[in-house]
Amino acid sequence: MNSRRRSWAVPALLLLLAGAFAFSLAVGAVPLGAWSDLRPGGTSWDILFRLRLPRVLLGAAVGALLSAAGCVLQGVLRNPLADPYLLGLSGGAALGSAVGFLLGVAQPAPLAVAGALVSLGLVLLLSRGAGAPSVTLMVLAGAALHAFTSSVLTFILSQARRDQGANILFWLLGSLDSPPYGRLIPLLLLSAAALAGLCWTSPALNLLALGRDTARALGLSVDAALWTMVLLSSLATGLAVTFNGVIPFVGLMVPHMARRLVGSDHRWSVPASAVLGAALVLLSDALGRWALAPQEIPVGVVTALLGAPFFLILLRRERRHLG
Amino acid sequence: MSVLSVHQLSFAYPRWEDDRSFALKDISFDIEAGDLLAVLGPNGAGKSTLLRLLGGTLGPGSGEIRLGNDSLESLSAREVARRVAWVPQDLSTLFSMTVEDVVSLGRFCHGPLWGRRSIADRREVHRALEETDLTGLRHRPVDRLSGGERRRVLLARALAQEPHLLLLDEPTAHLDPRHQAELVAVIERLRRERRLAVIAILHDVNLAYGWCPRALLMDKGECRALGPTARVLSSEQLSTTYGLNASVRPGDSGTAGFIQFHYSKR
Repeated sequence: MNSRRRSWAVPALLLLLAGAFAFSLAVGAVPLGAWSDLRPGGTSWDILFRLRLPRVLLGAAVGALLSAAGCVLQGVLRNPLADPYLLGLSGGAALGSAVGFLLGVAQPAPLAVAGALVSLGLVLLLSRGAGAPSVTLMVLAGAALHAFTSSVLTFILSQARRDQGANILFWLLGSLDSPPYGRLIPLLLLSAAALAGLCWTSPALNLLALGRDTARALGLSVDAALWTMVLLSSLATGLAVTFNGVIPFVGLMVPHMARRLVGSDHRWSVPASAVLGAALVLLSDALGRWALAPQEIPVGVVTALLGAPFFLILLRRERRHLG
Repeated sequence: MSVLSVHQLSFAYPRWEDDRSFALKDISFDIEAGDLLAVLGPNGAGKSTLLRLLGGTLGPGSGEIRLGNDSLESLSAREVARRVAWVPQDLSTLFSMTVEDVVSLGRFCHGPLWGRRSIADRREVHRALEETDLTGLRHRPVDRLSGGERRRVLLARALAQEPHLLLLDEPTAHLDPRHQAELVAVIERLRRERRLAVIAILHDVNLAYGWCPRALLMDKGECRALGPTARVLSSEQLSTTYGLNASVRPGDSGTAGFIQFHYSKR
């Protein structure tokens, strides 16, 4: 049943990504000129390769990172409503990045990843019960930490100079920027590594999704697998947040859509989430650039507008799983 | 050589340590290939703790658990899973999975993390489905199965591990008499054909009396009696362990006996 569904779903997903990629390149405040203008040195060439392509690559990376991390976290935490934000990782990463902005460092990514890791450490420390960390406590601790980092961010915004504050706020809302290639490529390579890692853990995720005791009884070294997954998800979240600030709902809704398409085997649903997440962020960004052109709506606002109704429908559909 | 031998096994949950109460104290027994041991006792007697220790999902405790020639602690999770299969009471899947998906997870301990399922994997999954009469249901999502069918799926997943020892946690709970009988028949066939050793926690003393040759009666983490079921389940033992008057009517030649509790405190 699933393999038959996958035989059309996988090509459809790849086509969707290619379409989103092309659409995202074509849409913008300035219409591209004729094809004849598309040569090195031309205006269209510059718009396409200096402004739009980096932004499109970045958007795809962010969507893929958040969605793959969301899919892994939902399986590990056995919670259909889990996403990178639930563990407070994005909050920590956002705080780290904001501090980087204030200090004026050239590359805030290490600070963001460090922020995510510190949050993770705190969450795991707070959620340690007897023996292994409890999943429920982890989620609650993450929510508390997220509230805390949000308040600190708000405080920083209220104290920052007006221009700095506006920059941070715009980045926090998830506006996709066009970084130079020299800064972009290392980040993209790192993102690819994080994604590969998340996909690599996916067979073990099939066991963990059945509960820790069952996973252990079926032969998985549960603690090692769990730590690897949580660390990789936090790396992915840290990177995504550095790129674009907070883009809500992507890590939550994409895995559910992906699972409907390719089935719940994580060896398929994790990579499928990455592809679908990339497409979703690209389309949301294109929509944000096109709707009120020449003004831009930050991509995070678009995904929130799309995501909130989706989330409510999901809540109703998943009621029986949520008890 | 025994499939499993347990020697003076004790275990205390960490947070209980202050009041020094043991969840399990000085349990010893052996089990051979093809054996069936019933584990009986009131709630909180330590039956599930014992099963989890034997399956390696809890522990280590003090004392020794040996699987064949090896101590359980010296084996990796994967190696344990190739010898011992734990069958929990119920199957809860987070996301929709088919019967075959679930049973295939039993092959995890035999293969590499990645890579296609080998011919042996497919053969074992097929055989496990066949032996539990699930072949016709293999594409059905498990959340659309009845309780009895889900129990068989869990058993099939355990068989796909190709274990020597099966640990059953109340295999017949919540099943009607016909489905209980079917499950018992499946397990009997496995003992005969695969020479599987089976340890089963049971709450139904009559089922143990009629089915299992050997029984371990537990109370407050300790072993009250171990041996042939008819001897372990005497009316005196049952009365002290469960705190209820019990009368045992031994069966005539070839028929099962019958135990009756009198539901008033002694």
